[in-house]
Amino acid sequence: MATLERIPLEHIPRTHRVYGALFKNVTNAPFLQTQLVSRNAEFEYAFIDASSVLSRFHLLAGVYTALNTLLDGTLRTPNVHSEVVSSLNINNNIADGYRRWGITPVKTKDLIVIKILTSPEPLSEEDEEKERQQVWAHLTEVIEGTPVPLTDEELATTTDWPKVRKYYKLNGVPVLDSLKDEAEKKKKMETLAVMGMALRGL
Amino acid sequence: MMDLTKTPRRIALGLEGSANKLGIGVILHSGPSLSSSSATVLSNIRHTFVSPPGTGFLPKDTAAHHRSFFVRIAKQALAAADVSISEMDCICYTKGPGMGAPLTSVAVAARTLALLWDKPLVGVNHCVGHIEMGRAITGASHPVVLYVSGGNTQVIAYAEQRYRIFGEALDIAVGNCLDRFARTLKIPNDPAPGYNIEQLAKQGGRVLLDLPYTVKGMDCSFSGILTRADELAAMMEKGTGKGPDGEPFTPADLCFSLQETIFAMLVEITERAMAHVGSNQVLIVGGVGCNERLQEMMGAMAKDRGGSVYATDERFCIDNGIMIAHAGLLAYETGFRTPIEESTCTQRFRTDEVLVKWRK
Amino acid sequence: MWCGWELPLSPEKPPLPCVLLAREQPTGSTASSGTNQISQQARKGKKSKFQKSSGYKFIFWLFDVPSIQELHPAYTTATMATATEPQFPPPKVLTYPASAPPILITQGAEGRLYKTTYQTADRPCALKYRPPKPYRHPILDARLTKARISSEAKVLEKCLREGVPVPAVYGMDPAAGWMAIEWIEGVPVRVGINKWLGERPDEDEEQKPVTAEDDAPLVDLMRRIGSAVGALHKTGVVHGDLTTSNMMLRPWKDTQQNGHAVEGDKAKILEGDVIIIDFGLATQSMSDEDRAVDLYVLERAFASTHPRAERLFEELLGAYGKTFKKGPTVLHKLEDVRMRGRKKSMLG
Repeated sequence: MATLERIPLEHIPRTHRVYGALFKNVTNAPFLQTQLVSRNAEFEYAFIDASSVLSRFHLLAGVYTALNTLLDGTLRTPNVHSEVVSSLNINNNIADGYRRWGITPVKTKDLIVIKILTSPEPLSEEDEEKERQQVWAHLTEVIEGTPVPLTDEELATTTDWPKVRKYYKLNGVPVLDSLKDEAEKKKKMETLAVMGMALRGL
Repeated sequence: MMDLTKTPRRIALGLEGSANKLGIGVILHSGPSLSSSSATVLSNIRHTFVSPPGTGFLPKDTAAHHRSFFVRIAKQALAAADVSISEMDCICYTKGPGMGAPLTSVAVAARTLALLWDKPLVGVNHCVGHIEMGRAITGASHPVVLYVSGGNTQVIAYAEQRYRIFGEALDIAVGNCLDRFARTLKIPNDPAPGYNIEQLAKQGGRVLLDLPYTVKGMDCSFSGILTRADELAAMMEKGTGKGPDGEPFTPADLCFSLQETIFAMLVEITERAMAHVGSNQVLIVGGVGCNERLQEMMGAMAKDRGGSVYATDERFCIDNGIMIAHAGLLAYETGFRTPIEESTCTQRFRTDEVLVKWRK
Repeated sequence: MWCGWELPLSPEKPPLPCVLLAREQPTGSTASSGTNQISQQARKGKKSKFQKSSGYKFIFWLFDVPSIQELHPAYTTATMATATEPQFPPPKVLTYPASAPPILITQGAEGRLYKTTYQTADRPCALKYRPPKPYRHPILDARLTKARISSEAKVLEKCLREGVPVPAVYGMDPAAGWMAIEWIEGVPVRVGINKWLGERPDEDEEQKPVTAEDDAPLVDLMRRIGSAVGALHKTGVVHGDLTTSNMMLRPWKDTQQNGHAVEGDKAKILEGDVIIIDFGLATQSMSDEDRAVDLYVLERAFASTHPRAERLFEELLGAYGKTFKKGPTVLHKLEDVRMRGRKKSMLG
């Protein structure tokens, strides 16, 4: 039974907690997007179009970057959730970032949700579990789609490779063209995408 | 190799004129062996050829200056040292590196004295002179040496009887960069352009202007930063120069920014050499070594590494005759002589070409 | 299996960073043989000490810490007064909790290198950190740090896209002075070559020089290095500090950790992909002069680190020359550079 996953990350204070989920065949994307855009306080989530994401490593690279900018106090977007979406981009054009990796009313079918919660002190295990269940309850209530585990296997089925290659400028790259094995090629593309994100704006 | 036990007192006359300073000094080494000798400065006289503000010193004029002042300064040095010609062991002169005409004029004088007084000649490398004097004055045992002057910028460490160059300026010397910039700003050359830049820089500090920082591995280069500094000076003249805070910048701001940047470059290449050889002592020699800000920055870096910085005062860091006498006498004591036929001078004379026989 | 640890050796001395080799210690007679094996290997390593800890599950030792003096002032043998307390403040990013504390691998004039994890506990990474330099004007310092980290990252990206064997960048914060890069398993080429040559510091120095015939695997490695450097230069990047310590031998998937091979597996010592690391001094350049200087630096470094194999360097250059069109031109330029001894003659 897929549920909301508590994702521990290295080098992040215990006062900051990351939760993630993957929903397939979402039918109410337009509704969700309007909630986001209208800054509905109940919808502080990072909604990410799963077709623009390659793997957990790729996804979490964006999450980690966003958390770092939050901790540094250098957010470029209104909140950490919008920052997660724009961190997946390889340039600083925020609008492009939302358009390409965020939820779009017409196109988004498979949706990744990331929720980041903070507290002045770290939570106990029970409180964390309570928190997770609260978030999950809300998500299952408002998202019309099928929850699946947020794994590399599932993400592999949702990736739109031609689109990702375009977004991360992975066409006509010598090292990729020379790789014959598909699995190796995909691994390399994941590496290059994450690297492109790391060098964002340079 | 001289038998030093038989000659417990050795005296040398040193003649320096590779740039615009004519320096003549007399040194005394006393002691039965190389490892247990002391050096005493008997006299150290210097006369500098200062050109008008906005100009640099030309070889022709500098040589003329040295020729006209030589006899006067030599007599002063000998009188102050209170030694007779017969007590002197050798005559040391700067073989190079330096400017052609000034070097030659002093070399001619050296040869004349050698023939007149029938004394052996010792040709000395100007850089080695600075290093040996620095070591003697400060007592630094195994430092990395930063040699910075109008004509030279080198990071040197001693290894196996040579002063090996680890890093250097690839184009112009740092002192040259400062001197030329002083000309751009028409800063007076008296007592030295670098000194006046330093004083002016002390009035800066409000802003740090963006100047190119060029360190390539162990080396650095200064022509780029000089070009940019000149450009900014021109903008300042026209009234279009604005600093990062939107306010117009002043000559003091330029001098401050220039110093901060070029000195940071020097400290960085010195630090790299120190890490490479595993040393934490730095000795700064050469005219630019008088700069207190450079000494301060180097000191901060050395302290960070748990070490220390050594520097001499203007008597010794600016070109002088005593360093030539000292280094020359050290070579003489190991049996080194420069026959008259070979007593030429050369504009290019690398520090690592000298065989440092007086050290292990 | 590696972990990072800081060993407190005694109450007075600050803890010494080390690499903890965890080896599950079975009980019984096999335990002592395992210990002996590790002892042997520890003695082979040039500057490693080891400590056995009985009664514990793990045996650990200080492995290949290149220069303890470099790492920690309190352990230096140079003429130093009592050291001030260790100035190792790690970057802020490493002060948050992780599954294991970061290990300081090296500390040079440029900055520090830590081994830690990226994102998840099972992904090791190298964290390069350029601490602020107190002697520089703070604005200049910030500007330089940011520029250098960015430049290094850009060079790595360029190389990786072209297929040059270099580590990938996972994440970075130029303003904060750190960059997290892919951890490359294996040993430095320097270590592999020395193990192959069987060099031991205390033993007989009078060993005959290596010839091409009896050391085919080493020749092969030299050629692989030459090709890797050629690929690098072809991409328009010049490394700036090529030495056999700045190249790793990453094991191929089916071999054991190379460099630690037992007798009979000697050929495996030199197997693996040559990965070039440490691009802190790299620049983007297509000039033959710069490339020739790069090769010259490697040549000098090779000669001083592996004097017995100096003659094999030609193999490296041969492979280099075949890697790209301008290769032979660069080799010609190298002859000029050798004459000059890298430095230009300075006007006095």
